[in-house]
Amino acid sequence: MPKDSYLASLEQFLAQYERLAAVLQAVTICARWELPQEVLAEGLRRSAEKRFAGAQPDSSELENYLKSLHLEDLALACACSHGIDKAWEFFVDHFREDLRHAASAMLRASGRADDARAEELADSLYAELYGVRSGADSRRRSLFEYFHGRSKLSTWLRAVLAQRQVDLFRTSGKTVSLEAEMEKETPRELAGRTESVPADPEREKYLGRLDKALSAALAGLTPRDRMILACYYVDQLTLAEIGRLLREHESTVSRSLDRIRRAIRESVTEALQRKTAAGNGRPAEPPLDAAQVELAFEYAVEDWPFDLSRALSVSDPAAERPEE
Amino acid sequence: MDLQDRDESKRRRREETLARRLGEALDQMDARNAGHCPDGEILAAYAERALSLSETEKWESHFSTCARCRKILMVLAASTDARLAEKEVARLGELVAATRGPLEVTGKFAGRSRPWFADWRMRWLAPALSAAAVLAVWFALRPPWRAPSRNTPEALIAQAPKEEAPPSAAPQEADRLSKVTPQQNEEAQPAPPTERYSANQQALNAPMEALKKGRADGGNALDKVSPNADEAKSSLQQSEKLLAPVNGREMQPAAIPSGPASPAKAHAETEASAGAQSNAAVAAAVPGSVRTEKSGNAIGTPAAADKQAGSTQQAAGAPAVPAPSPQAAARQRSIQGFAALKAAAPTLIQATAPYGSTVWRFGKGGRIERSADAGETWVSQTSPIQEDWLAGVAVSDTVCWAAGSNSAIARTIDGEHWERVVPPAMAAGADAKLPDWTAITARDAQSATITERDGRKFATADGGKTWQPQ
Repeated sequence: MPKDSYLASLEQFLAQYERLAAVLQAVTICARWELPQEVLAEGLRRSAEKRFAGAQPDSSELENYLKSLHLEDLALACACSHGIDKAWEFFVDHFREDLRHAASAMLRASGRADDARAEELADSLYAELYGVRSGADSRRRSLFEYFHGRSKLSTWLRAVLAQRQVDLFRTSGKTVSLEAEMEKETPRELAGRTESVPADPEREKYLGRLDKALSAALAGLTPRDRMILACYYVDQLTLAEIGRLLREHESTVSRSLDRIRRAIRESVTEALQRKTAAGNGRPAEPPLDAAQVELAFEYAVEDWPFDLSRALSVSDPAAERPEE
Repeated sequence: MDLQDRDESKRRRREETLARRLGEALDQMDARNAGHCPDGEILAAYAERALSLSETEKWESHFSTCARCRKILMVLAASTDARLAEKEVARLGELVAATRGPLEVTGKFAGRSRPWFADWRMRWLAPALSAAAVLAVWFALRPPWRAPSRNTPEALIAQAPKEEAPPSAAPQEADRLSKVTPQQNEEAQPAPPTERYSANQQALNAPMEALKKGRADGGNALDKVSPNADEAKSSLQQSEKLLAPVNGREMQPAAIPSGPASPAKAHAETEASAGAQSNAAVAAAVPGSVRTEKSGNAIGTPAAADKQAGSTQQAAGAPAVPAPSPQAAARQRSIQGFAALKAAAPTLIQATAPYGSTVWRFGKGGRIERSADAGETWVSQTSPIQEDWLAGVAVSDTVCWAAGSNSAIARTIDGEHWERVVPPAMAAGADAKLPDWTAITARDAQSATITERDGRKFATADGGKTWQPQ
């Protein structure tokens, strides 16, 4: 953030937008919390500073952004962060049950759920929401300071809670027994001990090209399409679950999956039928004919599971480009 | 034809082959290149679709390679404000438990609860099974539709009253949420003609029984409504136990985690969560609450409610009924009793603050009342206009808009005092007749949109000083 930016400090922000800040304060419920105007103004400034990190938005852009915020929730968060008792009382009365309900939903059926644990998880946030003293100035820093009004306060609280819960499981997942590690041996490794490697010398070459073509096809997808694929094939979510996550109907997700699969198949087939340029220490490769493409797909069926990391590790986007 | 089939088969096979490898490819894509994980606010804003397009694209690119963020989003999506069905809760628990730690990333099959190939095959079988299920349902439902005896008025009268609605309506809703197949639903409610009766009618019938049973039965009804019966029950018990006001107490931060929730909040929570699932369930679960009135929010529009009640009453009083059984007679008495109750109740429009326990209700002749305890007690407020209110919307505990007949619009920004809002001049018709506002939406104290009876809309962004046609 440049030093001369009007978002760099509260004084500069108020000098430019004092009237707007006053208007926004008037439409919120700040009066109920007896929240000083400069506290909400600081919350607005921090929100804009984070949103336009390093950039210098024009007045209308900034005004539209500030008006789009959940101002009442932001005012409540500012008041709680400021340590106003009435705001805290309101927050506890109105959000405690929601938090506990969300915690209970996250814990239940994972074998760790009971009312006490849900309450413990939900209440674990309160200390941080109130704030702990840290840093050189020993200033109390509340978790509310990280709320900038871009979502509802209740959604933000659930997101923070979900982060905690998922990270808790990831941490506990680091402890893996030796037996579990032994069980991780892939079928491919096991198969390698008992079965002989196929004799076709072209097999690895075809598979390598198919893997690279697949990587290129994946890279060519939109982020949203990749996310749908990841949800479906990696996380193994159902269409309904993906639909809920993306706020789309499951039939829309189903159609998207069909479209993406078809696009990948066409892209991979085209890539295999093209001559690739030399690069990365590799010679140029001739195009595959229809029979060879068919063979590549046959080998891919047999080569399950496979290790794409070898293809990704040597993947060079330049090498994927067709020869001009 | 054979050639086309072969080509299609080949294309399918290639897609299958690639689909198998896609999972592995995505699984092994390196998330480190996608940058840092977003903070909770970005995740929450993404879940609410509040991010800009460029931000959405940026973060979706990260999400596609970050299993942790996808899990968080999934948990977030599944733990929405609406209470979850048991199956959904179980699935959510599996998702959270399946989150893998860094060590597991190297293992290709770690964390998978079933063979990947089998899962993949199941996904391709899913559409076929769905089609088979639809056909099965169609065949199962078809004969009753054509059975002439089910279409007679006698059958309607015998089956229409839902005196047993309170014990059955909630489980049916729970079944629906648990994705129970239609066949099972049919078993629970064997008479096909009852499908003609909407959920609104069930809602109208349900409170009758609930009112008769009294508040003591509320806990049982809650047991059936809430997917988590214990939680709902404890919530009710808590709300009843903690009747002492909490507003005046001094809140110390150290004592915050152990502080009890407000009873009003618990009540509102019960209503809100049940209301998200089913209006009928709400009516059954909250006997004696304000929602037993003809509230547009709770039971549908008053007009629709009247229409439903009228049709029900007409069916009950049809002369074609030959010597109704004692049960049918009892049901008929119930319907008539409830119709009389409905006729005695004033038509009120209700507006509830997004969160909190403040509720307004509006009626004829400029009637405005406010409740600060989710409808337990009401305080009359002075209306600046004595017209009939037709719509209202509460933005917060202190900001509320109301609109009604003869171009009446009013607003409060402190929760206590109402002020008249000048309506849009261009809304007046050619015959100088003042318009009736039948709907209103508002975002804050300044921005609102009103809808005229003929569908025209006008919006203001300055508290009603100026209006723009939409």
